[in-house]
Amino acid sequence: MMSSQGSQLKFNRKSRAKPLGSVLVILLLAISCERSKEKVIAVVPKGQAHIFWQMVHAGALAAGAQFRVKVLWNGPASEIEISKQINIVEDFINRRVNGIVLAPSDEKALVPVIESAARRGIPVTIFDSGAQTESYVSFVATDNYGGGVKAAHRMAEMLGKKGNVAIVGVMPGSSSTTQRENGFKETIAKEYPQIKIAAFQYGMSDRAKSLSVTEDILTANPGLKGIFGPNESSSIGAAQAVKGRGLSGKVKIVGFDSSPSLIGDLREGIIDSLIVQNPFAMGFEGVRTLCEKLEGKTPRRRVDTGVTLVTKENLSEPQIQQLISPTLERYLGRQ
Amino acid sequence: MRDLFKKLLPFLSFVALFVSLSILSPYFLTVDNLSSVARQTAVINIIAIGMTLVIISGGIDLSVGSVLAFSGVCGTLLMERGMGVVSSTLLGIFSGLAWGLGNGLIVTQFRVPPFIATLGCMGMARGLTLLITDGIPVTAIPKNFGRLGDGIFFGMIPVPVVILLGIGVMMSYVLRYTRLGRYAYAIGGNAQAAYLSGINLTSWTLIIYSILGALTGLAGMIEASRLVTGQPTAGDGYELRVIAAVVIGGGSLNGGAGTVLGTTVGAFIMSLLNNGCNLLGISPFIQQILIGGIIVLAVAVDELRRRRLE
Repeated sequence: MMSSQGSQLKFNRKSRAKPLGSVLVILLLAISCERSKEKVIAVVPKGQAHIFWQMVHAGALAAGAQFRVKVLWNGPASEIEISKQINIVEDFINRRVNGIVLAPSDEKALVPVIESAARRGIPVTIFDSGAQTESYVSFVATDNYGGGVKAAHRMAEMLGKKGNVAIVGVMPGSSSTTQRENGFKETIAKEYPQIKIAAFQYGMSDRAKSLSVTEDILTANPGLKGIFGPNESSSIGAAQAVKGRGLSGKVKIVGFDSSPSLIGDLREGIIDSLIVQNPFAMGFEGVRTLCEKLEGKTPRRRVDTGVTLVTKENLSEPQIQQLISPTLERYLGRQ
Repeated sequence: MRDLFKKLLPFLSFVALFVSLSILSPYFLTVDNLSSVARQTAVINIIAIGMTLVIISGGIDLSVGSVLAFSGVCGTLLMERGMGVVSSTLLGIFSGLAWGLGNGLIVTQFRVPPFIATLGCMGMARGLTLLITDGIPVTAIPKNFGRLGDGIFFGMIPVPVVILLGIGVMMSYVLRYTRLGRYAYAIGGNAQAAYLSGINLTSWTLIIYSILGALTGLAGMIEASRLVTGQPTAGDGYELRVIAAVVIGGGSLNGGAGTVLGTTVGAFIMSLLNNGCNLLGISPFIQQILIGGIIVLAVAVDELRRRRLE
């Protein structure tokens, strides 16, 4: 126990000394990338765990190929690691990239780094979620409030304009999903007096948490008719819970975003419909605005990438297919 | 001499990493970058220094991530209610100290093992933080509070780094020259023997956990300042990064071993790896594998050496 303090202990200096240092050097040498003169644009998502971000990644790479810029991709593992995201942006600034495309995980916390990039002459385009600053080139995002409104109308239509519904929220402080939640809540309150929002709980952008939150909502509200899930993890959590309780079809789920498992649930009728954004376009347009900026043009200040209602009926239409399953492998295959 | 070499091991890895990054990336060795690395490390490092004391004494504290969020939220809430920046910050630190004291009381009075006691407080502190904020970040914060996390001395030294330096020096002194330090090593080395030689285990344990609590509170205020908000979800998973820093730096979870300098080097090794991977464009997934591997390697080297002795 006292060994590390004691000074009489023996240690063979030849054999054990090197591993830490040399392993590191070799690894870093092995994976370090070549440097070239082409323009470099960094894309920083909020997280990595959702298919949504992979589609953004694919879109960004497609734009990079088209406009001949190098696209770098790095983000925290999950959406709640705000300080990690700040670190990543700082590191990109220190690396002197030519532009940064950022989805801020908090509308206030990222403001200092966005402004610090602007001060150093690095243009920033914000996508997906807003930030409380004016120091950006363009804002590329879905009309999130409008998406929530669309979900509310669909829900009302499916329920015959009456009954209890629940919202499995994403997390407080995330502006894009809060707007969807508000769009849904306010439309229901204003236009459908016979629909009541009986429960509203946060799944913290985590499938497992969303699942258990939904299970509890189902337990507490036996007569529940519908659930709104404002992002991928909340929709999946809701679908899993409803499936688990054998309530498929009895509790209508209107979800947000798409992923193979959500589309599978839509086919099987567990999910009634999905409000689908266009993450591929977000990645593409985000990089495009900065390329325009670097060429000396003035890109549009606000780019709306649109939402689409996807149901079992329109699922097989080609333009919907393109939206929900763009050929990711084509872009992400060789990373 | 040989023991000295063992102590230098984390140092050598640090230097090797530093040199190789300087060669590999032209952006690494810049004032801007080094000052961001130091700032990025400060929060974890300040907690890790307190954790070193706890781990030396044979304890552990899993609640630090949650307590960090609790303190940050308490301090910023007070500011939102109109209290001055300095007094709110002090009260935020004090709220951390209170959790530390609570941990110590559960360990000493109810004889709950530290792992379990602090696991419980981890949940309680997080839940309470979410409860008092309703899960929503605290945003109405005076502008000048930002200086604590983002301020800079002499155009290059971030404020949190100066705080870290002060705390590091103080804690090194405490460990080496004061009764608290000697008792911590004694309790961690052999609690029974320490007790029989007349050390009051209860009060020293309370003091040790309270110090970690207060440092966590301070780190929480710095983090809140850096995020310009009181985030109820802040610090998620920090306990493991903090413990990793101590362990990489030569601390032993069996107690009785650990130094402030080692811990600081451990924390810097982790953030240099993160920073290096970011600068070189290495996937964040590989970063996690690297850091995990280094923790295992650091402890394995230590164990091998120990077994050789027996």
